[in-house]
Amino acid sequence: MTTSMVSSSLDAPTTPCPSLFELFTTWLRIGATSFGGGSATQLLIQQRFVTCRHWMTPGAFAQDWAIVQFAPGINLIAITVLIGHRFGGMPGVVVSLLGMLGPAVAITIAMTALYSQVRDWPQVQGALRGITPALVGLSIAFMWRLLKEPLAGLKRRGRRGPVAGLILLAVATALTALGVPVLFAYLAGAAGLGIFYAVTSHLPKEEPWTG
Amino acid sequence: MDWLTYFLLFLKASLLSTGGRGPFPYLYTDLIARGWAVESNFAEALTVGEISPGPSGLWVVSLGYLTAGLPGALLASLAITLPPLLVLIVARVHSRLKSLSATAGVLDGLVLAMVGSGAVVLANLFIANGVNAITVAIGALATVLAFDGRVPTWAVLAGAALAGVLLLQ
Repeated sequence: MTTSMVSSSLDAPTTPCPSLFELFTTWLRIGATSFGGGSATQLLIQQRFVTCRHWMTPGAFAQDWAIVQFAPGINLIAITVLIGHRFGGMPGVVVSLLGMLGPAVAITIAMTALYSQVRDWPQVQGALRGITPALVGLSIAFMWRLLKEPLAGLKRRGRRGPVAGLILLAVATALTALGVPVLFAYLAGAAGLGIFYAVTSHLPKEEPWTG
Repeated sequence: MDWLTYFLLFLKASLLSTGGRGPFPYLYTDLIARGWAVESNFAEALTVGEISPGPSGLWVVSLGYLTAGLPGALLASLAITLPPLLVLIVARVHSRLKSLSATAGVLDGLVLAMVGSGAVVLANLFIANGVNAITVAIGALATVLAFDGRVPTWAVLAGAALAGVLLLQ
């Protein structure tokens, strides 16, 4: 450890960057030992890259995680790409994706293949009929939690924020219920709130809407 | 099977959504409309996604296998891997994106749309599975347990599976 590093701020990493091989094995470990995804996996990534190996500062990780929120698709794959690129350019992206997804995809396929062998058993069909309503219940709670962030953003825009959110939620629900392609529900939501946020951005943020 | 259309449906579902569950309403409506999947495939795939390692969004890979075998699983894997690569472009314009007030609105609006469309699709999945006192009770109990958060997801699913074997065969 050099003195310049000791004296530097929190933002300086304390160990050198991982090699491509280290990147691969780190993501391999994360991909093979994380279950269910979401915040548990996020924590695991943070542990490996920030807490254990000090390859990244907490600030750098937080910034990468914030960027990932703007990317399409699965956030955990996007963070894999971003951190892989940070340490190894495009080769870093490739080895990170291979580590994170290789075994996980293989195990997912193997589990599905095994399941396909037994899916016609009456017991398995019974289990599936029990699991399906449970999945619906779990998803209701999951979606409720997802709504927290937009709700916070909407509340900051006064009383008309939640009203606008409710209208868009109803529009998306109605469109899909009527059989309109899902794309239009997503476009309505994105365009609707995008425009709403743009036209209400001049409102003072602290002052709640009282009209 | 029209492989190009199959792949493009998966790619669209991943590209024009966010998060592991984002593609769900797209895939459910598109694949069932074409007769390439049945309702129960989604319950099967989502369950595998919950108990297999890696991001739970890998349920899409399981759906690929269930609907089109190994080639389907590999195409699905490719389709969920490509869109997140765009994060490299996002990272360059991130500061400009963030300063636009419309950006937060677009992201929040996508979540609202996913919840709205997702609610319809989940209702369809529930109905296709069979509505009776037992399935309603399992659904209600799972909702309560999920909100409570003390019982892990796998245990809720295992309990529901056991209830299904005993009561719904």
